[in-house]
Amino acid sequence: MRKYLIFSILLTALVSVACENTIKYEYDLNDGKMTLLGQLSTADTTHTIFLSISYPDRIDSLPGATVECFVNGSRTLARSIPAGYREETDWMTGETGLVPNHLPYTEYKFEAIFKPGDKVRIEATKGQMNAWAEIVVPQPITLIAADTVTVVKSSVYQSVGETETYEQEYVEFTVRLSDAKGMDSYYSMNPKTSTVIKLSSENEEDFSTISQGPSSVSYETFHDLILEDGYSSGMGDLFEDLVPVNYTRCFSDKMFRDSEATVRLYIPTYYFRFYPYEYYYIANKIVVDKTFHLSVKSFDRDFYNYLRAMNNMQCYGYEVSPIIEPTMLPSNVTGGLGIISVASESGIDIAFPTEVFYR
Amino acid sequence: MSITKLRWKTARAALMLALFISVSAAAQKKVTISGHITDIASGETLIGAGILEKESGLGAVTNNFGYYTLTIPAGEYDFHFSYVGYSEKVMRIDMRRDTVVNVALEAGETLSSSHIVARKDAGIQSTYLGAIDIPAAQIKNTPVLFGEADVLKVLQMMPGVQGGNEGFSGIYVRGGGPDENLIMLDGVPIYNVDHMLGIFSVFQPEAVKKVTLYKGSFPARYGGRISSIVDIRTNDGNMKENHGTVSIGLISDKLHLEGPIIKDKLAYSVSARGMHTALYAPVIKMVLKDAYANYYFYDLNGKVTWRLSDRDRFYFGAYHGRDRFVYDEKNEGEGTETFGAQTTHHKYKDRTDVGVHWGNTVGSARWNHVFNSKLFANTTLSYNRYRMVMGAGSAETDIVDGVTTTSRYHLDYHSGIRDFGIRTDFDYTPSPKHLVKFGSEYLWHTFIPERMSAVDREVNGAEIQVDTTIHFADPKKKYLGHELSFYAEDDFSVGEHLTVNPGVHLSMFNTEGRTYWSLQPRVSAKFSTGTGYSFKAGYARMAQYVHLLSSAQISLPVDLWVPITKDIRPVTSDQFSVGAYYDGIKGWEFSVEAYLKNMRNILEYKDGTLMLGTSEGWEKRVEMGEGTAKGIEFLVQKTAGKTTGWLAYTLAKTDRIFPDGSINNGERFPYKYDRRHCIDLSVDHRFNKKWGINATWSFATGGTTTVPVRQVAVLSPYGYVTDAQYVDHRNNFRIPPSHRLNIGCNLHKERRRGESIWNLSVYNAYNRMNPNFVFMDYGPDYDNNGNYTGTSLKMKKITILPLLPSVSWTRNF
Repeated sequence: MRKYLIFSILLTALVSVACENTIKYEYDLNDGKMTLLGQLSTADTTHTIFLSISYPDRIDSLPGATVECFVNGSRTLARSIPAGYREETDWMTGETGLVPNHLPYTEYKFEAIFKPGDKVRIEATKGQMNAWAEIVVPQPITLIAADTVTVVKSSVYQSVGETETYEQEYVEFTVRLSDAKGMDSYYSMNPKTSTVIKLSSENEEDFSTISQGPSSVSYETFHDLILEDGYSSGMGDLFEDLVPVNYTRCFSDKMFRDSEATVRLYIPTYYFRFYPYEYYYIANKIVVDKTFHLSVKSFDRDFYNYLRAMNNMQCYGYEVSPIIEPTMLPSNVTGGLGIISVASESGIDIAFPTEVFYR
Repeated sequence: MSITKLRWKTARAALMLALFISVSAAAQKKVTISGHITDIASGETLIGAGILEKESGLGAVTNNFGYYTLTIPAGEYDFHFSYVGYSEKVMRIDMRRDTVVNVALEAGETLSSSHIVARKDAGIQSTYLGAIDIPAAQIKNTPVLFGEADVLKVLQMMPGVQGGNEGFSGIYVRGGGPDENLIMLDGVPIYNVDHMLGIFSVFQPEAVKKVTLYKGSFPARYGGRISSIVDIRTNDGNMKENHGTVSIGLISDKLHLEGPIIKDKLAYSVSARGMHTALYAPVIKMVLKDAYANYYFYDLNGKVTWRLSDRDRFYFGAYHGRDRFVYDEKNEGEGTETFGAQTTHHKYKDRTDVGVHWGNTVGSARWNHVFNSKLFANTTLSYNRYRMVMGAGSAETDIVDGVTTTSRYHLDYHSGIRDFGIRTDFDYTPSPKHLVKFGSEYLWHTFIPERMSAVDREVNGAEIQVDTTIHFADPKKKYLGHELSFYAEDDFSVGEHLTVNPGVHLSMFNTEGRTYWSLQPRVSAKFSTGTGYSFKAGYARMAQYVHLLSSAQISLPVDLWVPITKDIRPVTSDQFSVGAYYDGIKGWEFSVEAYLKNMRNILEYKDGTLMLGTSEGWEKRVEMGEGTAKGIEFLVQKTAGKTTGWLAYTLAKTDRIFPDGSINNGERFPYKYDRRHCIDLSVDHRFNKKWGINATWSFATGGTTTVPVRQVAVLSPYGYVTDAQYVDHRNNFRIPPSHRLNIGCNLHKERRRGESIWNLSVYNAYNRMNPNFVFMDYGPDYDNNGNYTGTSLKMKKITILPLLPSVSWTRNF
């Protein structure tokens, strides 16, 4: 904050006596480039590609394009099926009222099954425009074992004469990983939880079953070198708002290449707590089964670099700023822009002990 | 032949041989003439003054302390003592034994530097490449912004040296960055060289005697930076009589005093400079009663020189400079509010204040000792501190129905660097053909990157509700660095035309338990044809152990110096250079030099990182890579006559590559200050004793910056699609070229004692709108009816320094 303060005061002093002029900058407003975005996975059968067209001053949607998927040279579908296109437009307040804040893209869905080692090609065509990306589906990581323990972690804030400590209870997940052999590998960690709630009344056993999730949960790493992947832990750092953290949860195998490693992630226990009170008016017995799903995606270096770029943009904003080195967006799309990834997914489930609540 | 006769002949031959040998020995007996060369009027030592014995062609020049030594065969000689801008003095001396001759020269007929003999430290006669001497007079005469003569801005006009941001004083030498220049004041490194965000440098021209720039084959005695060494020497003080200068300009006022404390023994020199706003701060405070804001800078220089004897001299120097910004706002009021039947009376008083100051404090003690006519030593103890302190606070008092609530919040932030150093340099002249220099230096660095604490106190009535002091960072956090170096070099002559200077600089840096060693060979050679032409070639390896975390293209107080770490390796460079020179025309010098510089472990901020100068996690935000710089520099100088000046042209290219892909996807990209063409012209003409004009014209291809080239959809970390600005590669836009003409005119008026000088100057005379900042502006467009018509894209520039006339008045007495 103080940096911004000084910077602003001094810069304002300079700029207040300065002159502003427009300088010549040549660009073609009609120079459009097709942009393909897709995060595909071996765990899914239905996949989505986001298609748009990038111009110097705007982004447009791209309806009516043909999007095809080839696996090992064979087109898995005779023709990609646009699941209808959707243009999302919201509005922002401009100087003269509401102006469109376009977030335009066209969404294409298709069905396909990918396996590690498959060569996947996604190709989009519209008129003279053609762009494609080719990805070899990487080998998955192996999750050897996982264990949990409840721990209390503290964030420390120092004061004169005393240390203020804020404590938080976490479930510590210790996970043993085995790297995919013979290659540089890049991963992301995606923990989720799901809950099954069975309700019983005096008259009827299990009269209702409610399934919740799986839903993503956030985790802390507390200086786990592999999972932080060179980023700040974001926990209690003085300048945590100035330094990007690993929002995308990506990491590489550079610290355990072709071998095994143990990582630890910490999920606040409130994610696993169940509060039965809302069901007390309909049930007098509530049985809760919670499951923790840990999925690790394996993808190629291009997508890893893309995720790291996204970490920066998420921290500092998606626009170029004079005090931030701009982020270069990697692309694996030939003839256009964007990124297509096909991840191999591995997972492990941990079931928590069944909890029973009585009204 | 009888044996007796034979013995007699043999004895006679032996006698003749012995006689011949003894005569020869007598003829070859070497003696040494040594001493100091000074200005006759002030007793100020002259750096680079020459002594020449014309028949033998043997000569020497004075070192940084005005000391010379020349060893020649015993005999009677005419010695010519000379210095640029001084009348030559010829002394006939019968040299039978080692002799000390102190010579005082009188300012007068301007002498071309080409008359001065070899073994100089800089210039065409020097063995080194890329070494340029800039006398103080040249600095004072060059027209600059607001009439403030500026050392670094004159350096910017030298070939191979570029300014950073238009009109600011940062220097970028041969493709290097702003932290790759070792700028020394009397041999002590200065970390913060700027005032007013870099518009002015901290060096007060009145206190400066000479500036030497090295950018090519560096002398072995220098190290610690990879791109340039700027050695600034200050006045020793007048040993004869008291003199002074008072100067009033548009921005600042200056005072310089010097004179003897004990004539020819002990002298002082003090200089002070301050912005008007510093002097008038009480008045400004009085006028701006409720919201006082002020910015000013000041510099104080002091030096005492003590000539204990011909063998021992002591110098005590100090510098203190500050920039200070203060803001103070007060509000107070009272009122009555009624809620239904209840009436509340309240009074309030609040105050917000922000203060920030930053600057250097330097102290040095130096001892020159002449062991004998061949060995000279200089030992320096130094202390150097750069400190930035910022405080911001607010205090509020509310009285509601007689109950007082007070709250107070105060934030303190400071950072800095502190060095203690000891250095010893020896000059050893075993014969006229050799000048050996050797020595060592130890620097103890203490880096204090950032300390911040806040006091929060709130009292409601008699109850203390909050009373906390928070230290946001470890208050004891600091980094230590130990830098030790040794060097040796020999400047020696091989035959009549060739001089070679091989040397080696060995340095060690210890930090965080890790020690880095660096062996840096240096060599340069000069071949003179004897007809005015000379050719040089050189190689130098340099290493650097500190970095500046800089936030922007201007000098900010929050810029931080940090040491290398166990993970960030020292920056090194290898530079090869060649040059051709001609000084066969009296008063003219021509030179062309070419260089190739490879840099390793240079740092750049990674893509997408905040450049503000916080040291927190800085290692994670930078990446080590490689850089190359190459170029050709042309320089034509006219050094004598009524019209003097120079024309410099540089053709250069510099780029960076970070092979690990963390920057620019691993592809090579142009450096921010990659300027292809630079032209600098400086002309100074003295019509008569009264009138003189000077003009400078500079042209530079624009540097580079990064701008977005299109809008693009991206996948956010959370999986949804959003829009972002797309950048195809780093430094993808070439800023338009800058050029400007500065003109100055001096009117000298003789006074009963001294003279007065009126200076009228115009900066950027034809009001060229040179860009200081360039940015892409996206924004909604509207038609005449105010309807939104789409988003437009414009490239905009901000010009800070348009045409700026100035006037100053100087009185010398």
